[in-house]
Amino acid sequence: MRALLVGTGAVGTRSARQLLSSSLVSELIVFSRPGHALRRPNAIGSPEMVKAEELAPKAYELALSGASFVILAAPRLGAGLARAAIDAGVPLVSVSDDPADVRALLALNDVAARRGVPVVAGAGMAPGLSCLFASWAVAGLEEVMEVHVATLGTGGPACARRRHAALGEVVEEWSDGAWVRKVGGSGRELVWFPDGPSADCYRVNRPDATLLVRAFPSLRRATSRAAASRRDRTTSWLPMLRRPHPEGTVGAVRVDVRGRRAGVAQSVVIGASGRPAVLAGIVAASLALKAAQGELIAGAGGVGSLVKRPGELLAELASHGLRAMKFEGAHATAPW
Amino acid sequence: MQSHGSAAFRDVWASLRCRVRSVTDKRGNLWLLSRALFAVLLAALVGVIVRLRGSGGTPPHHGGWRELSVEDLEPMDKQ
Repeated sequence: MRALLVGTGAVGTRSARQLLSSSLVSELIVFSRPGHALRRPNAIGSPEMVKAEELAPKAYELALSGASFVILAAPRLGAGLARAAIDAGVPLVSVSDDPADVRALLALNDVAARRGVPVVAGAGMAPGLSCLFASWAVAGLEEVMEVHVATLGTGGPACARRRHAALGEVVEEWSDGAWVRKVGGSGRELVWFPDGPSADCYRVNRPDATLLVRAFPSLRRATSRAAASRRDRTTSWLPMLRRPHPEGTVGAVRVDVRGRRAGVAQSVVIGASGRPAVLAGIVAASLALKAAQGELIAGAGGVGSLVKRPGELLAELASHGLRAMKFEGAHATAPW
Repeated sequence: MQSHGSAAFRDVWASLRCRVRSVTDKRGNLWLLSRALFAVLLAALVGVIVRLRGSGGTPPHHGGWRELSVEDLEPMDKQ
């Protein structure tokens, strides 16, 4: 299988390593933005399997012929590259958590469905793993009413910059069946994540709610929050005051799904912890391989819309090191 | 009665103008500006304190996280 990867940041390199660990991938072409060339292509895999190129329309289109899938791990490149992939009949998986990128990909839904090509928008930690957890929990409910996503930590520098901006932007939340505009950085809630850490989380402009509402139209409420410090909140309206870290260390995602089963209100709280870039890389690579094997639904959408069997995929991710955890023994009491 | 009322209003207005003029004459327009700026900064400071203080709730006292096995994950697809 020939795989294309666009982006050589923290998530891109983790996805590459994940792909190369699979026996299905025989060739990986890694595209980097002009001026951001991969310094050591050998560091992510054997030299005979990895080929590094600068991203240019002609080189990309040439590589698409014969490719099995594309992973987009670079922000603000989505729509053009996705359109070219759809035209070539090649499935595409994007890890971007920028709402503008996700909207641009979702706009390609009709074209992708007509061509029978899956285009997965938001296939990282959140959205991505968060939507997969939500799908898994929804499968055990008769009626789903609310989904609340919270995250801790960021992947590489691009993720950190995006979260910084997202804290200061206007947030669209799904509330009582309608979109409501809220102020980013507001709505503090203490969230307890898997493996111990708890952190105050605030509204962020992330596309989780958009993707979840598309996947589960009966939802009454969908929210997205991220952990932030006091300094993060007070400086969110300024440019980042210091250079972001090369890769985040502690990270986690937590999804709280509420609904009914046998007429009784139920709350399922599920999550995972780990380095955000590693989690995103595992999710993106596994989804891309599933897409190449024809196991995703055709069209553009989030993980919740396109994955047919979320439990099976979660079990597969567990074999790659993801530890899915469920909170048991007390109901989630946050008044979201 | 009406002329009394309007005369009283004129007197109050004249006295207010006189006071303001005396203030600006004595200390200048800069003094008023600095007071307004001080009020704005004070309001911003109070806003920042109100926004940042406190915490988002209390952690749960019961329950905990349990790792899900493959046997826990896959059967959900069949439901």
